[in-house]
Amino acid sequence: MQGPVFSFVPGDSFLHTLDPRTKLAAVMLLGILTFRTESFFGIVTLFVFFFALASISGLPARVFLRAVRPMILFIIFIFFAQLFFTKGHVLTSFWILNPSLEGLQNGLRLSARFILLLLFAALMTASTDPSAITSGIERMLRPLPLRWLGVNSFELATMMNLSISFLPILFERAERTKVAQASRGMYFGKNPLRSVSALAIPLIKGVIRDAEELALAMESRGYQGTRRTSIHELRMQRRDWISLFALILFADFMLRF
Amino acid sequence: MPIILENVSFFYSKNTPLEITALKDVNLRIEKGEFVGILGENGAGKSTLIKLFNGILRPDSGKVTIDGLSPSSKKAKSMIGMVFQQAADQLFCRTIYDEIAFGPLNFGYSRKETEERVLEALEAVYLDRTMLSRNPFSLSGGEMQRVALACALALRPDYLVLDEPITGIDPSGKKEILETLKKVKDQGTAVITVTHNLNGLFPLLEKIIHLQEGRISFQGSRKEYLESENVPLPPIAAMMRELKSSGIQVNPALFTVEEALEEILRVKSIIEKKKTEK
Ligand SMILES: Nc1ncnc2c1ncn2[C@@H]1O[C@H](COP(=O)(O)OP(=O)(O)O)[C@@H](O)[C@H]1O
Ligand SMILES: [Mg+2]
Repeated sequence: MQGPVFSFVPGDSFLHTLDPRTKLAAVMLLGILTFRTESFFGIVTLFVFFFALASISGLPARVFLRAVRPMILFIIFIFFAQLFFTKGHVLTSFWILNPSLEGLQNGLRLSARFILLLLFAALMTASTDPSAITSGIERMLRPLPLRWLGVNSFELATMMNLSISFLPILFERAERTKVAQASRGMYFGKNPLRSVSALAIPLIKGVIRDAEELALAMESRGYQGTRRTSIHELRMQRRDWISLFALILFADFMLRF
Repeated sequence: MPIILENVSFFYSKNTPLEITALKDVNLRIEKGEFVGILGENGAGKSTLIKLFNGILRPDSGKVTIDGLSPSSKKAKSMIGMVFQQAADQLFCRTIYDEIAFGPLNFGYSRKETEERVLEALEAVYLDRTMLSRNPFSLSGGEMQRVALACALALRPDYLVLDEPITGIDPSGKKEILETLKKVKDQGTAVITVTHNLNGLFPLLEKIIHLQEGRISFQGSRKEYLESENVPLPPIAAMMRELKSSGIQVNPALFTVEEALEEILRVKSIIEKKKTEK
């Protein structure tokens, strides 16, 4: 069977036992690091770092393949856009295209960064129970004065978590709509605007319907939108502080290049 | 001219570690005017199979032809009407009229011709003309499914392909859909339906294709199907087979209540006659 992208894979590795806040902070830090790293040496180091974490996590390789796969076309597109549209030393030219050396470098760098981001995100989501992610986000948002906005940190965290778990459903729905409209000759139609609405309207209406159903289901199971006593009593352990400290040292080291 | 599949295989995520064999060495032939059921468990490859018919998916090996044409040609696509299970996933217009007209307009028919087709299709699914100006999203699930069916019929397809047309539809909507399919078939259109609801559609099926893990495990007439081993049977047929295997000499290849009752009474009278002779 096909598993959804970015889903949780239970386990008892070191990564699994870290506090969700540690992992959230780590992903943010690694995300920043990924986009601040310019040199090829730095990017290779980040990949090595990823592989080290991945082997500690004991997660199967398919978890990571699944995270990258839906974005492959996008990444390839970015690569070629960089390759052909960056000005610099022309490598060869054929037809109207002049790939440049700088383009090749930029292309490789940007695609590598995207892949790294997806990999680190997959590492976190696969090693953290979704409800623990919610609790983690909630705890991190609690100091913010969100009441002024009419929400509390728990609602916000639930919302974020739901959006993530909705993504696969959204993709599936989009695919079904595309297939149904293609069968009615959408691609032969003369009006491109009509094709856009033929795809977007069923999708939006469907998602709204899904959301309403979900809200009803949640309410009928007692969801109040207020903080409840969590089954995940979050406590930062020594290993969390050590991990964070190590990560900050690592970031400092990386940023010196 | 028929739909022909020759040695067709299809894989999802080909050449990756996630490769899934959805169809393997499928050979089949569907003629115009046939009523064909595609049966099989979840994940057997039924939906994949029908997506090959109108070129939404292309086979990784083997060949698909529709009346000798490639399924991705415009001509072939206009000959195939598809109805998917989730009707709500395709409705997007403000009125039912526009919704049904979307297909014919895409294939380049004139306004006038399109209107004719819309009215014809609406009538074929037993919906009222007053519905035409209504919003498709105000409909019940069964009505939506019938509008989706009308959308396909408006193409006047030679082959009407449906994925689970009556699963999850209330009984009255079901009856109307079945009536429509019968009528469409009698007009010479091939009706090809994916189903695991053996009760509703089974009496209409003339030919059955049973898929198992991407391979055709049975292909033949309904009669042959009822007599073959290792296929899921409609309840009455299953009961008759039970009777047979417990030693009562009934003909097991039956599936309607009337037939079964008649057969049981026939066998009963034979048994009683034997008793009195003793
Ligand atoms: N878009 C897809 N990507 C990857 N695998 C898929 C996709 N669609 C279906 N599959 C897989 O292909 C196999 C056949 O699926 P499908 O044709 O939908 O079966 P059915 O309609 O008989 O339930 C299943 O194993 C399913 O998980
Ligand atoms: Mg299916």
